[in-house]
Amino acid sequence: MIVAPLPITEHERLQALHELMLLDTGPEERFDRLTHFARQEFEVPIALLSLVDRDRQWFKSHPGLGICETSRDVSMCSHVVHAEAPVIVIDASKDVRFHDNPLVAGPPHIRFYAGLPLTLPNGHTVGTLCLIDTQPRQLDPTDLSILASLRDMAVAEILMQEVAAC
Amino acid sequence: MLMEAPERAAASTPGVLPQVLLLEPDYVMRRTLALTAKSGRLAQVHETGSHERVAALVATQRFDGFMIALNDVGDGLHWIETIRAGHTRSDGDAPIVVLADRIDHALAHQLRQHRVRRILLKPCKVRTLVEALGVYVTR
Repeated sequence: MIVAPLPITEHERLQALHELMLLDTGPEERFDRLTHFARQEFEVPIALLSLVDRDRQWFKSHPGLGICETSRDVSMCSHVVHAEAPVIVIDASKDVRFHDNPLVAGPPHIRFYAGLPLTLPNGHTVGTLCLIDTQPRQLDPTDLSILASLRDMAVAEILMQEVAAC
Repeated sequence: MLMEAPERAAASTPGVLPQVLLLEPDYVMRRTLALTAKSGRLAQVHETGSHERVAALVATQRFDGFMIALNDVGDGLHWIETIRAGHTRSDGDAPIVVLADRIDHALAHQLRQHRVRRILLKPCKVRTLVEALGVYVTR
């Protein structure tokens, strides 16, 4: 298993994340409607709105997944945060980065992963909107464009929260 | 369901996106379509769930085509009839795609009479709507 490196601006990134005041808050329909929509659109069992914290990834919305956080070292979303770009994994069991990841080798037995970065206007990537499936699959350009649109809507909702909190 | 209608090229200037009006109550559906269509340079989708907003838009702006959800059959059909009667700023023959929860013979007949280009049965995916935008592209 390859643990994602920390971004160079990790300190500032964490500060930006915490300033959103979203961590450890309750479910909100404005985020849940996006992840539920993603599940239906792409016919995947799991869609997550993930926020990557110092030592954990915490899920603001997690339809299909019974837990609300994991440690950061097993986080596939951390690779998106480091890359500041989409990460698409067709079959995690065959990917050198993830094949022995506990979330792949064990429940929820991740095979397909598609994570798009949630990047704020200040440039910091705080998490992802991601799709997870238990079987290998791919996304074509139209799929990616649709997922990117849902991601953009998620970022807009996050920024509304930030404005409301001021 | 696909209803074939005579092909009509959407009036458009090269480099200018077709202007499409979408009436659909599902916020996430219509926003996702609008954003995806824009990023893919397929169309400029003006989206709303409000009949009042549709009234304002069709009175002031010309559209190359329409996507209309028939949630309450009366409301959606009203707009189709209004468009076809030439009571908007748009071409009365502009392509119309209908989104319907259900369809029966009577409704299908009405829509055929109004030269609706396509009927998409709900629930449908955004991808299906993206592909349906092809009816508005100049051939």
